Amino acid sequence: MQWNSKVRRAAAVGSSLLAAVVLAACSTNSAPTGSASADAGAGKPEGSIYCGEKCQAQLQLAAAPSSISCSVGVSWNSASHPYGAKHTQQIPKYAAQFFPGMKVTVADAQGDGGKQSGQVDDMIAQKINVLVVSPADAAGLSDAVQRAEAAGIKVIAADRNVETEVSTYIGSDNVEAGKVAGQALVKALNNQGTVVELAGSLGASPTIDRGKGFREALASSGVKIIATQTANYDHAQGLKVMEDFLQRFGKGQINAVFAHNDQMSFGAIQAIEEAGRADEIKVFGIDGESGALKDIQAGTYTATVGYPAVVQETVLAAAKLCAGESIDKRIVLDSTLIDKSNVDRYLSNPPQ
Amino acid sequence: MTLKSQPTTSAAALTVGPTPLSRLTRNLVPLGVGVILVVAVAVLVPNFFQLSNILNVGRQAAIVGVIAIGVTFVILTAGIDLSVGAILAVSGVTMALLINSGTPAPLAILAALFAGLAIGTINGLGAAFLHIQPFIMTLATMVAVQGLSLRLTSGGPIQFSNDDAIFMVMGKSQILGLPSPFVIFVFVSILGILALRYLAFGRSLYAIGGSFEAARLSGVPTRRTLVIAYGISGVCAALAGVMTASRLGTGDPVAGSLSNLDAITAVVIGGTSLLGGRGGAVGTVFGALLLAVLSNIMNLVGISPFDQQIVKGVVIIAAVLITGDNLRQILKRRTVS
Repeated sequence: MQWNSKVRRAAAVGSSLLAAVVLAACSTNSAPTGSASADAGAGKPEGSIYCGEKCQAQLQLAAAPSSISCSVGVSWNSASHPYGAKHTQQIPKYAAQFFPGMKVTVADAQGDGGKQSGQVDDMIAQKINVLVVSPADAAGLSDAVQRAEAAGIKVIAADRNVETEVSTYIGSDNVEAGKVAGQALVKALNNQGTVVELAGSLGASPTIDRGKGFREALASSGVKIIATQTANYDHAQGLKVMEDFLQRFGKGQINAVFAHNDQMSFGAIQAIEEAGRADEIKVFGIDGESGALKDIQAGTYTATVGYPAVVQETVLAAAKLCAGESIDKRIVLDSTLIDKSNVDRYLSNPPQ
Repeated sequence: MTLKSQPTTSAAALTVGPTPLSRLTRNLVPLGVGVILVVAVAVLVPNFFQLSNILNVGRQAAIVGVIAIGVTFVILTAGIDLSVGAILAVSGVTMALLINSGTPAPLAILAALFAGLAIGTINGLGAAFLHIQPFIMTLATMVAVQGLSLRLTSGGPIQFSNDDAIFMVMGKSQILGLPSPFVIFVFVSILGILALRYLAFGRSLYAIGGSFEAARLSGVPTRRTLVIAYGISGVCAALAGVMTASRLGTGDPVAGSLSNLDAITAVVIGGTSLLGGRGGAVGTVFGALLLAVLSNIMNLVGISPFDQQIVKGVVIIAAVLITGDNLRQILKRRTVS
């Protein structure tokens, strides 16, 4: 409190220097540290196993991979969740593996639509050839995308679409994923029984779409949703909400759980096991993380619906656009139901 | 259920007049609010008072409770700690990574707690010696530590085997028939209450919160006390991180993203003033329990997810009005004029 201004200034300079050094040390050492891609290592570039026949045909590259030479900017909504982290790390890796002439720069919008718009403008100024966006805010990014297109840049919307016309949208359908999960659940319960729903973050579009598809599948069935509650796509919250559901509904009153993602399923499974009710409640989810596939193999998790990463597909589409080839407006990956009967096929190559 | 006796106690505590509440009654008010709520619910929510659900709520209150006890130390000095959620995540991640690299479980837990202590100490040094506003200092460490967790894990959760006995104690087992996280919460609470009430260090926190300058002039080692307070907050958050990770078998880099707000809410509901100098750990315990009970009840009754947020907001405002000084001040002014 009683420091003279010199000391205080020196301390301020010192601390900001320290901060700068720490930051520099962090940023110089930014080689991607993600686990080695299970997808990589194949001989030639192609879509993943979740890219069906039509999808593979749509991404067929006529040009030779070595002839691709261009600059690609990737602007992802956030790298702070596993799906975003995977794409921001693996897209440059996969591109470097098959297209040495493709230069990829990545920007993380940290969930902020305004920041993302600025990042896209930076990329336009750097005169990139192809822009890959996965918007934090579908409507908010439209202007920036239009500015990019006006500057002659081809735009790919990956996983999440923007509300303006782009060269192509590549993704998996959340409504379809919810529907596939719902149909599997109805079948597993022999068309009658009760289900509790662990919803994702309220108001988020995947939450709305997965819930919608699930309800479509249940509409004409004898399965009833007896409770729905958000657990924000979070493992710990999934556990907590499920604990409360198990208190609310006594033995035999819940036949199944539908969680909007695997993380919440993990929490639900733990709560069910701790309550000793694993034999009466089946658990369904969406995403297809490797941990989920292991649980399915072990028999603790009933089924999940793959919501596949679009790493390879995005790079292929970028290569096609670089080569000046035409591309379909919409490329959709499969919503694959993975249960005990087929899990062995996907274990080595999970959707996420 | 003590339907008859308890509400009268709390009704007495609610008749706030111009006379200042003693520390005892101040602590009794949150208890009274909790009791009223609980009694009302006993009638409306049949499942609530099953033993299994009571234990369930105790376990659910433990994580936020342990963090909130630590944050109480900081708020008493008129400071704030926004970094506790980030510390929770980084300590869980640190532990998970160390376990997976073959470190013995007790060492991994110690390392995680030390990480929390280190970050808390940095907060304290920044606030005490560089005179950075605690809000900004801990906001900055929050952001930096969130980044660190993501960096360490490449953005995804780290699974580890949590079958070791010490993890069972930290997160999953029962001690004397009570969930172990709840027992840890009780233990930490008792330590916190005793430290604040009987240690010179604890009294210094109140002095600093009352008036930093007066405390300094009367010989309180203000800077050292501040650093220790933030260090304690960091360790408590790290302990909560260890408990969370032990229970889930996962170190999640985005875990606890809202626990800083929940913890601060628990402290304030418990009657500790954000202006510092007044309050204590007893109130915090009840604040944390109130939040857990509220969330549990809303799930048991089946209130829609949208309405839950509205109810939570309203209850927080009501609880703060009752436990804080606001109502008393207003009544006082009315009586004087």
